[in-house]
Amino acid sequence: MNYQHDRQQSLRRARIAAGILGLMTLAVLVRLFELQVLRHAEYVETAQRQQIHEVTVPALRGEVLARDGYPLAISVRTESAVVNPRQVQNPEFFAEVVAPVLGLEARQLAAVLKEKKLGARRSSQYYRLAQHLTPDQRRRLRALGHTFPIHIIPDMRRDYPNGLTGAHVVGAIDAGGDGNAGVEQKLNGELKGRPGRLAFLAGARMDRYLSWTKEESISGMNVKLSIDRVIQYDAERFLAEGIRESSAESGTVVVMDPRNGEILALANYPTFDPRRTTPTPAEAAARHTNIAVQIPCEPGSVMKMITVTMGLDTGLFRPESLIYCENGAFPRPGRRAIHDVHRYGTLDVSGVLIKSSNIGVAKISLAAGPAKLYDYLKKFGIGDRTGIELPAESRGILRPQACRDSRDRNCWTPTSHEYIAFGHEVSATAVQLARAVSVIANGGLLVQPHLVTGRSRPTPEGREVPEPVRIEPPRRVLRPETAFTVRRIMERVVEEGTGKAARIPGYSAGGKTGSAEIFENGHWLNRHNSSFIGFAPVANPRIVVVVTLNRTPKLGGASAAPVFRQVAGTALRVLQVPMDQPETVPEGSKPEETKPPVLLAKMAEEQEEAPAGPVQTPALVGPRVPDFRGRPLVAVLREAASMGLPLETMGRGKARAQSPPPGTILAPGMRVQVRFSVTP
Amino acid sequence: MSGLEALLDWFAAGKEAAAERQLECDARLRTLPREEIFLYVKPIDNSRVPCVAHRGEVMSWVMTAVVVVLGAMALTAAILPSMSSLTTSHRLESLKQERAELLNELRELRSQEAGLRSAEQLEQYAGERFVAPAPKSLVFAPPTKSTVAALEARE
Repeated sequence: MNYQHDRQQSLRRARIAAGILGLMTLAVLVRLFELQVLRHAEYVETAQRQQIHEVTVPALRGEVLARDGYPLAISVRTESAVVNPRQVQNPEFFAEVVAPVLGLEARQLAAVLKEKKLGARRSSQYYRLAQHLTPDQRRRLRALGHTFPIHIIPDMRRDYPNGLTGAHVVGAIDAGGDGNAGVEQKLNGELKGRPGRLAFLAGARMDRYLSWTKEESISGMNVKLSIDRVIQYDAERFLAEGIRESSAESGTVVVMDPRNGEILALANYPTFDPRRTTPTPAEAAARHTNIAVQIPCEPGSVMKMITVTMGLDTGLFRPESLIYCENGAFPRPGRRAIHDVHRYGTLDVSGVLIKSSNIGVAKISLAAGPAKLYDYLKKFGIGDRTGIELPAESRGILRPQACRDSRDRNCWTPTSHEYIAFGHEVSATAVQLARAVSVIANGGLLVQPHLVTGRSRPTPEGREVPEPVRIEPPRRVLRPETAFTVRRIMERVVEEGTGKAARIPGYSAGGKTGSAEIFENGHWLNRHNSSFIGFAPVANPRIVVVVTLNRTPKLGGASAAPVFRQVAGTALRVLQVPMDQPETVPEGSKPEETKPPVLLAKMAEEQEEAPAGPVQTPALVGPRVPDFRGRPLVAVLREAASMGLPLETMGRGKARAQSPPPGTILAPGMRVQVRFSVTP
Repeated sequence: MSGLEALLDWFAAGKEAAAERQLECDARLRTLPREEIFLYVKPIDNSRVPCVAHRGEVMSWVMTAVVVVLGAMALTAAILPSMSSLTTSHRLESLKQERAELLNELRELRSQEAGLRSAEQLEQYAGERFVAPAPKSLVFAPPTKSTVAALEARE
């Protein structure tokens, strides 16, 4: 009986236990069903997120090539070493072992790792130990990678083999691999390519088991530029020398082929080193300031070339047409008088350009009218962007000629066209000026200045597929005979006018000097934006050169013209242009070759300033400085204006001191400084 | 057999006893020293036993061999393309990698060449005196006698 009872109880307990086990098994099965069937996709995704990681494989940035095919900028694949500071258990030990391999300071590395370890919030925050590993470093780090959590990742290095040469054209890239200046910035989208993705299966300690390419990287496009490395180098060198000799602050040189608009050299000063990843503040400023395309300045007398061209092309004037130049001062009722540096009587149109008479070109502009001048400025591309492949190109300053209404202050005033005729109230970049000169040099065609002459996309097989380059076709804006006539006049500017310092041994050259005095904070600074635009040889110009020196005390003929001579001489030699003149320097300019550059510049300045022709004689005919002392400001200004004296005033009250003293014959280019004060 | 026999003899009675036993009948009981074990040894000569050929067994052996060979061939034929493809793709990948490395090396060398042939570097190599001579500083050497003679002969 007792035995039967025990047996039944045992059976009941067994059933209960079996039931519990069954329920537990069922629960497990239900849970498994949920995990494996119902939420399968979600968990697979979660697992993949934890196990499969991706790294970006940087695309090889396209090459920037020079005219001769040599690289100006080229990318090389390298490798970098990174470490996850949180996985480094003993930073001191790690640093002691790893630092010697990378040439680092062990103590410093340990301190950085400790700091990063404490600061790291996520396990994926990596610290870059070294960039661009050498083969030896890579081999040693791979061996150390078995012990330490060091990862070697693909990287890229951008080389600029020509150093500073062409820095403003080629540009540079930032730490993120994007261009931040020059062609590198402007064509960043094409050069950059598309980065690929590499996936790898990793464990909890980020140990990689398997990796595969998820997306192939696509290399960037190779770009061939029209830049000639030798001309570019010499342009930069001569520009720097010219700036030093003329005490300028900055400057630019543009060398262009007038037939097709190809830029052969584009140099700026100050420049920068694109190889430096951490530039100084001055270099960073220079990197982002491409004077030739971004900084427009008043062209001064250079603009007279367009005004004279307008006069000839419209048929209003002929080269031998006579213009009365008012003996140096052109007073108009109710308006400010226009002055010439020298006193000229009657000049023909050629003489107006050769002697650079403000009054002469103002009269040409008055005869043609503002609408015609505006039209010709537009024809020469002033006020319009050239479309050159450089970032942040300025369109210059050319206000609209027609006013929208009576309140419009942005349009031309009734006297604007008189001043714009000789380069005031208008600004242009060096590249715009180069394009304008090209119109004269190539016989009346407006070309598009451009740098890119070829593009090709490299394939993974190592071949290159060429891509088309779109360049605006030349547009006729001038009659060829007008261009030829102006070319001959500009040749005389170099032969007998203000641009004698621009004569190139062995070649004929034409050009025009320009000097715009800087007016800043209500004062004339006695500093100029001096420039020279020119071309050579005259019969069939192969190059156009624009030289601009900013804030120099010298005028264009003395400062910019010598730079033109050096740059153009080199460019013609490099381009193997046959000489069209005897190589020996004419008798009149022999001393220029033998005397030192400083003396040469001084001579050129004197030549530019010296009056020439039958109307003027040297400084003896200059105005005699009156005695301004004790007179009020208004009276001094009135008398100076009536005599055509350039005047510089300081202070207020009555005139107390003046320089030069009364009775002095004012030399050309000099100005009278008068100091005013209330108390005697 | 002779080896085991000699061993036993050596255990049992030594070389002399072994020499005596050579003359006796081969079939006999032998005692191992200090053991209650008896080993019966008798040489059997089966050189005169006739071997009966069985055609069925031969055929089955041949069939087995043929099946194995054919199976191996079929297996090889099935695996060969994929194996070939695998090895080829491996080779291709390694060649691709090699090409990428060589292209990278070429880029590095081109960069170095461009640096070495840059105008700045060339000027450094040439030194300060690397300037174009002035026209007047050119001195033309007088023609040699042979040159004059050659010119005269041409005329």
